[in-house]
Amino acid sequence: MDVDTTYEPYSQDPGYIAANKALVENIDLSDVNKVADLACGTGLLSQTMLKAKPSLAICGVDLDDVQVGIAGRHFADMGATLGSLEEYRAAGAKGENTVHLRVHSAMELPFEDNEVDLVVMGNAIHLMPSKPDFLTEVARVLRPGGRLAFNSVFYVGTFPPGSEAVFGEWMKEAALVLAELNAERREKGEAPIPRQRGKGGRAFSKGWLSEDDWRGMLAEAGFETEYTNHRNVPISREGLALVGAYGGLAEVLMSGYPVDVASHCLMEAAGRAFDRLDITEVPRNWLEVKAVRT
Amino acid sequence: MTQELEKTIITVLEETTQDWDLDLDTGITGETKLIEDLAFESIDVVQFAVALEQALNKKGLPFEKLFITDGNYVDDVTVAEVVTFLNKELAAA
Repeated sequence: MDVDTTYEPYSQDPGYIAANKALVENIDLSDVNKVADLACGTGLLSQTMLKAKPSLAICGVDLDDVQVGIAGRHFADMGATLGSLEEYRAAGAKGENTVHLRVHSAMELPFEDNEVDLVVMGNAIHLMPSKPDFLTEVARVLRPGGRLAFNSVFYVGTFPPGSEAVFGEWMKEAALVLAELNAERREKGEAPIPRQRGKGGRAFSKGWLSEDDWRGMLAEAGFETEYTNHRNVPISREGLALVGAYGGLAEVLMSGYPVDVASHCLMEAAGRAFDRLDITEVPRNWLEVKAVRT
Repeated sequence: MTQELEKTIITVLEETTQDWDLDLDTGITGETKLIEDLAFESIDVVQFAVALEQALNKKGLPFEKLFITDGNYVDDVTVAEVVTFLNKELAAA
């Protein structure tokens, strides 16, 4: 199926951009030279900060080499200097710009203790396999007084009242699109779309945290929470289709099906759900958290 | 109504899981849990909801009320809880 399953299309969605820019636009960068952008994707958070302060040294890490490649092109287009980890370190020490990108886990960071001024993470902290271990690792690499800023759209409180139904209908429509694809295949005498069970986790095991849960976990890891906010960001019909097209989410929501098929179903289902419910947008809350390393 | 609903739900679940190689001593009953006993993944929950809507000829049932409590997903759901939910929703329709 001809679907762009990278994060790139969704990362261009106006609602997504607004939500992420809002996280970093008010960060005081005056005493920040070295930034770590974890699960950086295509680099939106860092690029926003780099526009505000072109002398930042930025290290972006992400497990997905495709996203890292796209991020590199975006930074190059901005005129940023791309370099190695050592060049990032040297530039950061001098208050100069260098961007180092690497395919790397956010759970084991390639930094010395107390090395980084600011850690940011856009809509990915909920994916960390152990959140306490992750926060401990971030605390290790941040200097005392350094800051962690993150947002997440997967937490207890993300659904404004009534919005759960829209996301439920979206998923049901996706299952119906899949059923239609299988019906077409049967008519042609083909086998149904294969599914490998056991590839996804058990249903409902989201491990979502509330704002208070995050505050407590941050305190345990040596952070003081300075700011939290629930930002209501409406998702448009096109935005939800782009969310669905993203393979990283599609393979979770429709686990076991080929990613391109899952992405196609979710993308197609967005429009159908909006039409059936006769809506033009669905609200969703983003949790924003800023914490200082004590 | 309740017995009829339970029968419909169990039939849907049996059709859904027929090729899943599950080891259920007593078959699917009111006490059967979707996650613990039937190893449901996220998409299984959705396909189960769609199959139920088709079996009951009723679209748009608010399954989120069954699967989400206080903003978070529940740990598991029994067949009996699905029966209670559907009884209430169908009566309200």
